[in-house]
Amino acid sequence: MRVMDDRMTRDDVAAPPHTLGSLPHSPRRIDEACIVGVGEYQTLDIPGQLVCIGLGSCVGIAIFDPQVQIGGLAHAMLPRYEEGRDKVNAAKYADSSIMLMVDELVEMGAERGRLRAKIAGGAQMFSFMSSDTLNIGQRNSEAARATLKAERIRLLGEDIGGTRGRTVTFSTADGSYRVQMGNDVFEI
Amino acid sequence: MTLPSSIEQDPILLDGLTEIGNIGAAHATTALSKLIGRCIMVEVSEHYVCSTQKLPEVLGDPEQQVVAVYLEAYGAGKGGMLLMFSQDTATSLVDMMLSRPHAVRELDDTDRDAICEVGNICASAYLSAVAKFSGITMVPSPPGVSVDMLHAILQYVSAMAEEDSSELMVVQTQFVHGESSYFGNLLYLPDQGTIRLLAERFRAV
Repeated sequence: MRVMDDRMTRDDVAAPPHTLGSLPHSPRRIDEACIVGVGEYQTLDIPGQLVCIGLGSCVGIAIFDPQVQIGGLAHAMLPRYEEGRDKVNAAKYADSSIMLMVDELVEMGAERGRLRAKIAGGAQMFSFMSSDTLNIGQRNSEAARATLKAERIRLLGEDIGGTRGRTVTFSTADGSYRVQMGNDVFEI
Repeated sequence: MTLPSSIEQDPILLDGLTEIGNIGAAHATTALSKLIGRCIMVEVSEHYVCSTQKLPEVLGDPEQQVVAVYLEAYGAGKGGMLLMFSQDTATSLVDMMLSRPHAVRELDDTDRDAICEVGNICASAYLSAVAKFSGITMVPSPPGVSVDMLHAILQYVSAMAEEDSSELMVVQTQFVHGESSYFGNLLYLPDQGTIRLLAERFRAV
């Protein structure tokens, strides 16, 4: 089995076209990593990796129980369910995706009191006057923080704001959260 | 709220959108050609419906670096306008505009400002052509520029559109220059109200 490393592009590891074509919905399996699509969340109860590609103003919220290696990653595009128009897909919003994911993790066997979180994203991609005067990236990360606080989930690390997009990889095996911004790679 | 199927299946509206894409793109390319002193052509103009959640993934390799200029239309007709180039295309555009030989490089601040202006001129030409054609006022906002992953840029555009609808009508134009098959991409994303307004106007013609 081929393992994805930094030198390989995703094209190198992509499955043959016909298998990709038959799997139009997320999660797309790219080698061992699960891609979490925009406005979705994924949970894992085995050691594995969850990836958000190209987080712009969205936030990638990782929540995990380090003792049992159960964790999830949400790719939230809007701040609050209450303020949103779409009431069908609650995973789109930072606050409701956290609540959904926590419930699912607890159901899978995680202990609510042991849950820890890491967040990244919420960049301001374009800086100019527009309908985005309140900066959607900032509102997303603030909503995520406030919800984690309200749910009493300790935030172990964050990398938010700025003007650049990020690709993040969360590992349920050790709770590591790798952030890639252009050529810079670091862990939080 | 998704786009009503009556809109997706309305032949008059779809023809009208094709026309808008063609007219807007023609004006945008003319403006761009004048600006850089080279002939830029419209390769394809098409339109399709896409969910806001999937838009960041459907236009190509999500992690490729692109140079994007985004602005919004105000007035009776609202919507987003996104112009995208590859890094190399963007720098060569700037060099053509300043009549100097092309050097492969990362975008610096001057390049960013210049490409911002290119986007501004193209998008304004597009919007004013559409406004004139449809009789709906559309005023462009000041432009913003970003050099980042395709996915991150489209995600922002999706998040902006998401407040209006879960589905987007995308009017896409591809530009070509000389022999190169790829030059740039222009997306016009009218909001639901504007689509409805356009449908009314097309029917009245």
